[in-house]
Amino acid sequence: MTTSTPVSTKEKPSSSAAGAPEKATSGNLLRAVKDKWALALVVAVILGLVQLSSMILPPFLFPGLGDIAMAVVDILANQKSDILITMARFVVSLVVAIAAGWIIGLVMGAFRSTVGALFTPLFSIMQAVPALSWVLLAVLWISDINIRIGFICFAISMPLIAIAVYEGIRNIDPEIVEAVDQFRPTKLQALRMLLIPQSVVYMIMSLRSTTAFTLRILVFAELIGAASGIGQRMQVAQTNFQLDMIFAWTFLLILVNFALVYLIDVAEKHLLAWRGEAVIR
Amino acid sequence: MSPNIIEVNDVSVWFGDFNAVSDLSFSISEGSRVAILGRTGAGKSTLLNLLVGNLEPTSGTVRVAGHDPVRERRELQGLLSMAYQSPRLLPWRTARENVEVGMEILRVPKAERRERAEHWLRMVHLDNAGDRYPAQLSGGMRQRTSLARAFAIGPRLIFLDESFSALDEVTAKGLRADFVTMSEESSVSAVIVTHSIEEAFEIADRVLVFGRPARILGDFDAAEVRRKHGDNFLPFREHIHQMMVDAEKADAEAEAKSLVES
Ligand SMILES: Nc1ncnc2c1ncn2[C@@H]1O[C@H](COP(=O)(O)OP(=O)(O)OP(=O)(O)O)[C@@H](O)[C@H]1O
Ligand SMILES: [Mg+2]
Repeated sequence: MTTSTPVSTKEKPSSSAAGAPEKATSGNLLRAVKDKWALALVVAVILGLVQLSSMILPPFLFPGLGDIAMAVVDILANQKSDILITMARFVVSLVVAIAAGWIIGLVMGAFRSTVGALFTPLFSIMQAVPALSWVLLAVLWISDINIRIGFICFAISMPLIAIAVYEGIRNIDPEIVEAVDQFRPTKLQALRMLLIPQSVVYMIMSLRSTTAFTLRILVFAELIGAASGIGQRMQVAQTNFQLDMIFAWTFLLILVNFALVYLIDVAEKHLLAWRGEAVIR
Repeated sequence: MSPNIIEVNDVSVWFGDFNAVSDLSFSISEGSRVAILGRTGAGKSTLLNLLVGNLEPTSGTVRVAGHDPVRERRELQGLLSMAYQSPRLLPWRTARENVEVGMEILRVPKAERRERAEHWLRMVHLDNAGDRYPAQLSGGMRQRTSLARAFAIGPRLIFLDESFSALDEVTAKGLRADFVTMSEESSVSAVIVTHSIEEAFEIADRVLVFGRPARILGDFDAAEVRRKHGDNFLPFREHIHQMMVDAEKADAEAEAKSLVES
């Protein structure tokens, strides 16, 4: 993952991202369209298929694009609080999982032969537990809905992050460690100068998959026993045969996922700027 | 205290039944620049490991600035630094931040750290590249950064392990000249490990020629050699080369003989 990036020989690395000199705005627009044509095509095909299906199938099985759009508007007007609740649960559990996973991963890396050796199989087992098992067990164990959902997200995402951080520390270049070690740093200094920056790379890499995965699990967990949140709303829609609502929520969740990927891209651009341009593609 | 910054007495190193250093004794006086010249596998890096405290000799004693580098590792903090064959920079730090690494560990205050880093970047002609990350520097620039990092802590003794060998000849020559200037200005002692005969006699004031396993075949006053052979270095170079080759041959023969006998 941290294979050495090709050396950029550019004099001014901060200039235009794609390397080519800035052209007129129409040129940029053209490039944007060129970059996104595949996405645009896929979206168009999906929308077309949805519309086509709605025309063939009876409306209670497949809503048309118009109905779905109305449902989206309805949600944004009347059920904003559910979106906010789900997002709040998501952010809080992810932040807790990242903090804990990072610290545990660092401790694993600092004490490989003991903590690292013990937690690796533990996390492998935790990751092998089906998400459904976590959800069902949590429903029986924990009555407070928010804590329950937080627990489920934590149990699923924290090991992924800890393992990624641990992996990063194990992959640190021993030659660089020696070069820092020649100045005889304390353990804490070595942690700050070597382990933490090295782990940031792997951390961000793992967030790409972990965030999307955690959001899916969270909505799934809200399905059972929650009184609010996107998952609960979708469940209500399902019991009431409101297919347009299910489609609308799905559409919104897809948007949220794309927004998350975008946020991670931005974070990566800033935190991993030192890797040159290779990482930003 | 002895005026010698390095004292090596009857040191041998065995890796299992492999003899890497054989009964080695020498000393280096404070303020001198000594090149250790030897062919690959002669045990040069092993010697550096002994001197910086990464390795304990199987027998014999090593003293650096009066300390045992392994047992008194802490006491040597801030006195030694090293540049390697590859730059070994932290990729997430800019050139300047890399130069500051050693000073940061030694808890030099931030403002002073920055000022000293700027100074040493200037000395290696990287005044304008301080804000660049290693990925944005050429190989030569990275190696310059790593030299600046070694000088920036203001050590008493600097080690170079083949630090110029991965650079093209023109770049290497420039950097060697800069290195001499910097060591003289900061009156640091230096041990320069190299397998280049030219390099050894160009930058050192004393050259120790090593055989394999590490032991001293010759001990030269480099200034005198430059005076005598500077205009016509090739024959002298050939002489040194032959010295190393002959020693290797003699070793191989002795080894073959002892194998036959046993
Ligand atoms: N940890 C070790 N275990 C076993 N053998 C070793 C070890 N370190 C070095 N050696 C051996 O000792 C000999 C000297 O190695 P060293 O790295 O000191 O040579 P060198 O003179 O630095 O060579 P080069 O010019 O190629 O860097 C080599 O034959 C090497 O294989
Ligand atoms: Mg070596």
